[in-house]
Amino acid sequence: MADHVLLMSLYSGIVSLFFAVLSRREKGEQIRLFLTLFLGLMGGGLALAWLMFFFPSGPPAPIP
Amino acid sequence: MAKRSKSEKEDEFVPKVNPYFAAALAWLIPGGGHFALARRGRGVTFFAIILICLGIGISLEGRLPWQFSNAPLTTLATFGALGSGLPCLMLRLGFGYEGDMTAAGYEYGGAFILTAGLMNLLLVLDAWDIAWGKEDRVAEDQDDPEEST
Repeated sequence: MADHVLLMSLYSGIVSLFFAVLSRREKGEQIRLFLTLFLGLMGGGLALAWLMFFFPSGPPAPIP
Repeated sequence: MAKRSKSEKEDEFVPKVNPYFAAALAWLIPGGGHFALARRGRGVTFFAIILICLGIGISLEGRLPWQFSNAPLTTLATFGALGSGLPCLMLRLGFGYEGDMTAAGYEYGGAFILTAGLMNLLLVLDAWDIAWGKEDRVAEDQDDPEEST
């Protein structure tokens, strides 16, 4: 499971679900908060990834 | 009937479940505190979420931080990971799990493991609040905004 996007989606989904269940009682409100958080996390991650595109790193460090 | 002030409601509240017990159980078993406080559905949901998060971290052979001195950030991460309670203790002390530094998912998995611990620490705080009736008082205040001051 080395797909970065899949892992980011999983992480966003888990964290969003957690906070939606923790902070809201009504089902509709939970779903709304879940979607808001999930899209925010995914969108934020993609935005940061694109920002980093303009600042490429050097060669990978050797494994010790 | 005279309306009660917020402080009056707080003073007369008697916890049904010992808040210390609820918080301790919430730490030890993810979702356990909520289960003991009769929020069974949410307890089971939180248990599943945290165990799934931990499971993904382990499947990625992620890092389980375990250092209590010399490295402040790693020590902080250790306490964060320990937030998941019994699962973390069993992993480290029972199975000797450390993660595999050469695995592709070492850092990602470490993030999942740490997040599981931190989420459970939030559950401990939530269980404490519920045990002290804060959840019900918040609902009352939302129904009657004049009493929220």
